[in-house]
Amino acid sequence: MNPISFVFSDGQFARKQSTLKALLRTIQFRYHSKRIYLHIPKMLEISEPLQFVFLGKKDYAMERTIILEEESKVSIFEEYASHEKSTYHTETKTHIILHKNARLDFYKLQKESVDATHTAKGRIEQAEGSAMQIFTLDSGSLNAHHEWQVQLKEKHAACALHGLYLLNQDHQHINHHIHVDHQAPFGKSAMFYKGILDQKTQAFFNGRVKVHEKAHRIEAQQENHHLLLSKEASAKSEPQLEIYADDIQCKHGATVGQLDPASLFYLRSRGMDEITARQLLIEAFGMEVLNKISDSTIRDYMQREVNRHE
Amino acid sequence: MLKIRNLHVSILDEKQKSKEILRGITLDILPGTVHAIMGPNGSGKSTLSNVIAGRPGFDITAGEILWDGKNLLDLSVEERAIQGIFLAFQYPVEIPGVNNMYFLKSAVNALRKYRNLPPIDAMDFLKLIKHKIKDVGMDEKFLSRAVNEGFSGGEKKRNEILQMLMLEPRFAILDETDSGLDIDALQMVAKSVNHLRHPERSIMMITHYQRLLNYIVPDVVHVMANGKIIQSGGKELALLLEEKGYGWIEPQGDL
Repeated sequence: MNPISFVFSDGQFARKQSTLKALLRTIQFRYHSKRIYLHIPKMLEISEPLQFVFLGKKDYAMERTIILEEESKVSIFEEYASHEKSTYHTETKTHIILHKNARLDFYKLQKESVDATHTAKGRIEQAEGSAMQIFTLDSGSLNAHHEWQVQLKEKHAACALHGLYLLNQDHQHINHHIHVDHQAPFGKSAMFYKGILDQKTQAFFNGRVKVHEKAHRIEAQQENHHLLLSKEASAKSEPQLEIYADDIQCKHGATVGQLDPASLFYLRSRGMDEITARQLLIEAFGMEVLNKISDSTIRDYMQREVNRHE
Repeated sequence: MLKIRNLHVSILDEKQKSKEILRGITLDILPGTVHAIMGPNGSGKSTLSNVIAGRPGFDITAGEILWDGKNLLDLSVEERAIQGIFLAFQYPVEIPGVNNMYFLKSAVNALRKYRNLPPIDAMDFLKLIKHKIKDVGMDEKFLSRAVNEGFSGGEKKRNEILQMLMLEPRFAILDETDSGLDIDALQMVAKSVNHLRHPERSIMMITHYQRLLNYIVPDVVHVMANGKIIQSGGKELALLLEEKGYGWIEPQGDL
């Protein structure tokens, strides 16, 4: 998909399968006993996404630190997958630090083996004027657990967290704990997560926004919607707002529902067969999140994964 | 073309109790005819159009509907559509995430597939739609938007008429398409319907107002009340209703 890629197999860096270009002279990449350190120097803008591929077969745990210095800009695309159907546990801890006016676009595709467990915990610290965008697509693993703790430490910092999760194998389970801490004024945060659940699957979403006393004039948005395609699927959404400041704008919404019968009838009444009409409405539901991906190459790639999954 | 015989239809109300909405409708729609159905709110006009189009949730307790001599009620919603039944909705739904142009193209291609024709050529489709969209007075920008999403009431109705013009149905039902339309939009609807008038095509218009019938002159006017057709007549009947209301007619029927 792109020329700069870092490939890991069960947490071990696979140098031969990776494609590292001259770029590594400008950025710092270190790897030592399942710890990754990535440092993007001041003012550096990298136009192509850095790609990380994590292949699993056996249990592994990894720790990562990603630092973006002032005014730097980079996007990262990471993919978790398995060559074969196997039972293993992936565990990652990620620590991201964005210095003043740095910008990071972070895309994640989790398509682990359907018997695997995926646990990802992340902490993000953002300085003044920095902007962070996260998009996650989950189409694999039996159990997935995502945790993000975002601290908007200085004024004018912004973060947007988006996710789409597709569950269609019995006993699949996913949960999200997305917490945003507005510690400074003029910050912006958005959470937008959608889940499509079929068969006997379960999703739990906990989104928490905390607005500290001095974090005035911030804007926070939180949305989580679930589409249930079977009677045995279930989803629970738990939005939390903890506000200690005045003069702020907070919006939140959560829904759990089925395909709208009126929309289905409308499409069919124009000649579309029921299966196609259902498929179109399901795709449309996910599209709203996919459209948040600004990079068209990555969006197409994610879209293909969504189509492949259905 | 369409024969309705002693049709009885019930729905389940909020308390899950069966409630009869249509209580013995008999109606013949011959090819090339335009029918107007009038009547007070709650008389069953919309139920009749929805049952013909195949909306789920109605319980047909007695009677039959024949379409080209075959049982219409055996056909799925989409089979009715590709065989030429079209309902212009009273309240068209908004479908976020489904592109309007893509939707129209899928509808056209579903029809073509039924007629054993290959999918329409992309350029031909574009040419056709750009021509038809002018006829309904809609801005082209609505094609790239999601189906009806954020459209005004009038724009939604124009979009319905656009679909009707693209699909060229054999039997079109317009369910209160004229409600809430200004005079320009009303004339557009009339022009489009009149343009579709054809010896092989029939139209059923549900309306509260005689106004629309000044522009689309019906062959027959029916008055519905309480789930029944209580009076049928020529276009003069609509004028009479406009003048006197429904009151003078209702007591005559066996309610």
